[in-house]
Parts: sequence; C-alpha cells; structure tokens
Amino acid sequence: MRKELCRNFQQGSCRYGERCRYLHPQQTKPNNPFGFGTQQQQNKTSNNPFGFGVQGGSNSNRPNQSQQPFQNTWQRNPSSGSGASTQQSGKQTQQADHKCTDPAACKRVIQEDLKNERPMWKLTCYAHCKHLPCDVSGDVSYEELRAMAYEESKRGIPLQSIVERERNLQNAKVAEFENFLRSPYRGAVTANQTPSIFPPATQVNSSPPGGFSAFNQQPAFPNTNAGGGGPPNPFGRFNQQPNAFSVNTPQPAPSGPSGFQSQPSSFGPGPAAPSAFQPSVSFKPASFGPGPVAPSGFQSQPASFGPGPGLSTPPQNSSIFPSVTPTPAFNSNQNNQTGFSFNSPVASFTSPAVDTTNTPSGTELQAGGAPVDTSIWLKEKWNPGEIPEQAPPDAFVHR
Amino acid sequence: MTLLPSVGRELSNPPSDGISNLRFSNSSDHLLVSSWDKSVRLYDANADSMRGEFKHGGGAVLDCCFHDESSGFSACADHKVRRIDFNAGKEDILGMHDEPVRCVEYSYAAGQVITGSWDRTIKCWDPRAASGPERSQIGTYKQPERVNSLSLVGNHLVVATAGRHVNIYDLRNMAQPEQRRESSLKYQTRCVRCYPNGTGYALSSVEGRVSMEFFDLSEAAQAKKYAFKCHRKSEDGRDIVYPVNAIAFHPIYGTFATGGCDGFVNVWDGNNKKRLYQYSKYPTSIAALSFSRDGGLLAIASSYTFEEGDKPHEPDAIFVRNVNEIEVKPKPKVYPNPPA
Repeated sequence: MRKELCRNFQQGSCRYGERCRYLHPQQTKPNNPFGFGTQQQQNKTSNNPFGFGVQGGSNSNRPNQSQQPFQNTWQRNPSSGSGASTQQSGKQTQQADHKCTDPAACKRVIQEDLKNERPMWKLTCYAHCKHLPCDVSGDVSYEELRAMAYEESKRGIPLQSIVERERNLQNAKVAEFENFLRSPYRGAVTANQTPSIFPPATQVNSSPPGGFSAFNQQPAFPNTNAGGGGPPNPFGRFNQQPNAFSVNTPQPAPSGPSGFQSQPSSFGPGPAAPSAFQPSVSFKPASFGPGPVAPSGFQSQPASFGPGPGLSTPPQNSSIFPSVTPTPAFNSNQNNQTGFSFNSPVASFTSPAVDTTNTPSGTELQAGGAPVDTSIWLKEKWNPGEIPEQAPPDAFVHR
Repeated sequence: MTLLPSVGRELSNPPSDGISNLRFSNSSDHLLVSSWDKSVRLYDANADSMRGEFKHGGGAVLDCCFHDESSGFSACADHKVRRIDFNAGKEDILGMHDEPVRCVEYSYAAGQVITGSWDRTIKCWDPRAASGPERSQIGTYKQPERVNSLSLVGNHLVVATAGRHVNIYDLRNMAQPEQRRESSLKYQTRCVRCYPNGTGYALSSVEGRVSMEFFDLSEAAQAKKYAFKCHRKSEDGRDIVYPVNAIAFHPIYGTFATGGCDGFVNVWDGNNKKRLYQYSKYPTSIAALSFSRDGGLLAIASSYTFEEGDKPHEPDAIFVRNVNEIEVKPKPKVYPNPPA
C-alpha cells in the first residue's frame, strides 16, 4: 500500500474505498486512544457523507450542494465547518463501540454528543450508548406539547401562560441535560446496563414519580411498565389534570429553579425516575408532580434520570415525599410542583378517569415509588424495564 | 390547482390546521388526511378533489388509516378510535383509550385495527364487531412508555415509544412482545416504518438520524444494521440537527423517503446506503409522507409540526408529486473491476 494520501479521497470521491492503493486518513485511525476496535462500519468507503453506520461526530458535509440528481458525488466541502471532517472522521470511530467501562470515556462521548449534535428539539430523552436505556428520560413529543396547548387553550388559559409553561418545561429539560453533562454517572454500571446510582432504595418515592420511564422498579414488571405497577396506573391518569405539564393550576409556569426540573418536564415522562410507579399508593404520592422531584435537593442533579447515571444522590428525597401531597414537600424549588399533579388530590388515584377530555397525556404522574425488591440488585443481568430507578442500597454498591 | 413543477401539485382544500398524517389507499389514489383541525379528509389525488370531510368534534385527529375503499379509521386526541364510513359520511366509535390515541393501523393479515396511545398501551380491535369498546376490543397490551409510532408488515408489529423503547410483536401471539429493544439512536424516536419486504424496520429520531434495523436476531442479520445522518444543516462548523418526522417506503423498489423539520424530503437506497434524490425544499416542516400503491405518486404534508413551539408558520399544505423512476430506483454500486 502506497504511503501517499489519496487525492480523490480528500475530495470525497474515491471509488475504491478500502481497496484504494493510497492512504485514506480515516483508515489509519490516528485518534484511537481508547483502543476501540475497528469500526464495525459496514461502510468503509470514503464517500460517507451521511456517516452511514457511524455514530457520533459532527458531519460538516453539505451534501445538498451542487448536486446533480443521481450523481451522488458528495463533495466534501473543504471550507465547511471545519476541515473538521477529516479530523473528526477519526473520532467517529470512538463512539462506534462504546462500552461503559470507563467513566471518563462515557463522559467524553456525552460531551461530544451534546456539543456537536444537540437536536433542536429539546424535550428529548438521551442515551449516550445506543441500545442502552436512556440516561436522561422524560421526553415529550411535540404532538403532546401541542395537544396540551390546545387543551389548555380550550379551557381558557391564556396563551401567555401556555407559552410560559412550555418555555419552562424546555428550560428545565435543558438544565437537566446541562447537569447531566457535568456529572454523568459515576462509572461502570453494576449490572450491565446503565449505572444506577440512585438514592438509596429506601427512599422510594423518591424517584420522581413522573416519569414514564420505563423502568419501573419492579422487577415484576417486565418492561412495560405499566405505570405504577400495581394498580394500573392510577396515576397515570393523573395527568389528566392539566398538569400534565406542570402547570396546572396554581402556578402556571413552574418557576425555574429547582434543579430538576423535572418539573416541567416531569410531566410526562418525568424525568426519569419514575420510580414512581409503584403502587405506592401508600405514599400518597400522588404527586409526582414534579416528577422526579424528589430530590428536590438536587438541583443539579439530573436526578431525574431514570436508570441512568445515578447522579444524584438525592437521598434527600425521603423527606420530601412523604405524603406527598403536593408539594410542600418539595421544598424548595419547585414551586410549581405543586401545581402538578395534584390536581387531584390524592384521592384521585384510582380513577384515571377523569376527564375524558383528555388531558394531555403528558405527564403521567406516578406516585412515588415503592421500595424496591432488593434482590433485583443481585441479578446479573437486567431486562429492560426491570432496572430499578433508585440507587442500590449501600450494601450492594462498590463491590 | 397550482402547478409548481419543483414541489408537486398542491391539493386544494387542505385542512385548516396542522396535518398529523396522510395515507394513500391500497387500491386507488385516494388520500386520507388527518388533521389538528379535528377532521379527516379524503381526497382524490389525481383529480385534486376533496371527496369527503369528516369532522371529529372531540379533538385533534392524530392519525388515520384506510380499511378499504369505503371506510377507514381515525385516532383522536379525545381518546377515541373511530371508524369512518366514507360513503355515508358518518363515523362511529370503535373504542377508547385512556389518553389521546396517537397511532392507528389496520392489519390485513390479522383483520384487526391496532392503536397506540399515550396511555402506554396498544389495543387491538375487531372492526366488524358491534360498536362499543366492550365488544370490539380484542386485547390491550401495556407498553413501557407512551406510544409515539407504530408500523406493521405481514405479521410483525413494531411499536416505538417514548424513552426510546421499541417493542416488536408477532400479531399471532400478542401476549408478549417477540422482542424488546432500545432504539439504537440516542435521542427521542419520531417515527418507525417497516420495510415492505418484511425483514426489518427503519427508525428515525429527533437527532437527524435514521437507523435501519432487522428483525432477525442472528449475527449475520444484525451485522447489516446501521444508522445514518440526514436532515442536518451545517452552519459555522456545527450542525443544525432537525428531527426526522416521517419515513415512507416505496412499495416496489424498497427505497424510502424521509421528511424532516428542515422542509426537505430525501429519498434513500437503504441497501446501497446512498441518497438517491432530494426534492426541493418545502415551505415548512414535513409532517408526513406517503407513496401511492404503485409508487407513482408521493404525497407530502408540508405542515409545521410545532418543534419550535407556537410561532408563525407557512400555511399547512399537501403536495402530490409524480414520482420519476430515477428518483426512487436503486442504483447498484459500480465496482471498478467487475468480477471476471
């Protein structure tokens, strides 16, 4: 193999791809500090402006330019963004086979993703490793947001507060991502899957009710979490109340602070954690309002994530939740929290019924979680949906 | 009817609010369109005429599908699943969910209507049963999260929910999913569509990516899966990353079109991993796409999807293009040294 650089490849039009006699910089994989194996890319040809098969790294190509239809001669635009395309092509390999063995690597992946490829839609969930459960959950689709807005408007809520509520929701989510970026989970997962350093399980409830997140703690629910486990989601319906997105009632617009924000986001899928499920009924959780809330303490912790990075420590939650009745518990921040959910005072649990008008589904508020069956921590491998929301009790951590 | 060669024919009498989905019939060029203006409309795409408008008083209609030439189903934000009789101009309620119904599909293989809702369930209904949820509901299946999209091919049902979960069912045995997966994309899933050849599905997300997956869990099949970036715009060294809202497969060639919030529709060859074509930019986000039964027409809903909240936007419109073979036909790779 000749040692010269392939001129065609640099222009993005080498037809030989792997077979080419000249050097294609990305093949040499200079940036492979983590020793990732060869890219499993199916597509090694140099013309890969869409990054077929490659995850991560930003692609500064402009395929749209000067395209004659059907020509497919993607020209890498040398001036576009950053000649970065060649430098980054090496980086692209890094994420191809990411394994959560090294927290620093994970963090790097997360940082790159969030820096280079932040989607314009902010109320999204996120996982730094494909195929694994979300690190940041509690996503809301734009249809849900829109349905919510229409619903509120029908009820006579002024546009101003709708917009404000949505903006808060969005800010909260963005803040959640920022927090996550700053302190993604600490290290390898205990049992495959994402690490879950959740507040001690005992808290239970702590996990923000919200959430839909799939993980319900109960081992019993294999994936589907039917919201709340036990009673079929009584909470689910909670949402009905306008809260779905937090707002609801008294306070429209959740006020900022509160780290998690789950608030706004909580609605819905509540950022993570939904541990709430759980029939918890015992708690009164009802609320969930603020979803993840729990930790109100945190603020910074993303806490909400479901399984993901533990972050948090919130352990504090415990105090918060108790009774759930809305809010107050939360202390701090959340003001609005109360707004949430509770629309229906605890009593409502059961029936979701509520209004047919359909509250925007948004948030399903789930009551705080019930205690997790600690044997779940002893399992070697979790199925999706079984992963507890809460952190393992200390006994299980740091083996 | 305005004739704009670059974007196709714009249909007259479009819905008065956002378009949530549109579908061509399997047996004609009739187009069924569901909208946030609480109506379902039936158009004759070739004649550019509206054949019917079915108002659903309850709430925005989030999805619709055909049953046969004379009837269809709709999924509504008022939690109800309705059956619409096009000729009689009436609709009745087939069943209900506990939250807005987000998706509806009709399975010819199973003879059932399948709906997905934000109440975290999917339900199967018998369309021939007497109306009323008690009679017509065949089953209800819990999902890990709110259902965002679902797609059918043959006996496979793929359900994509919030939280990036994907459940794959065999319609013949719905008691539990055949497979449970997490999306291989990192962000929220927007749309899932099965390949017409029944071997897998394409999944799109809000991060300007589409992933191509396969049902077969064998190593060989899983090695073929991949993801690619699309619907992005490069600016100042960063990408502006648009959600990919819609995917539609060409029924004959198996190539597919994707539509994003950037207003572009791209046509891709999944096997050869190339983009085949990009249509001219549409006025606003692409909310939905559908190929006609022979692949000769492509309907495009150019309708702002509220990905940036409430803001002034171009009017919602439906464009119908005549599809040229060259835009959708795969072009196999050309090797420099063909085998002897």
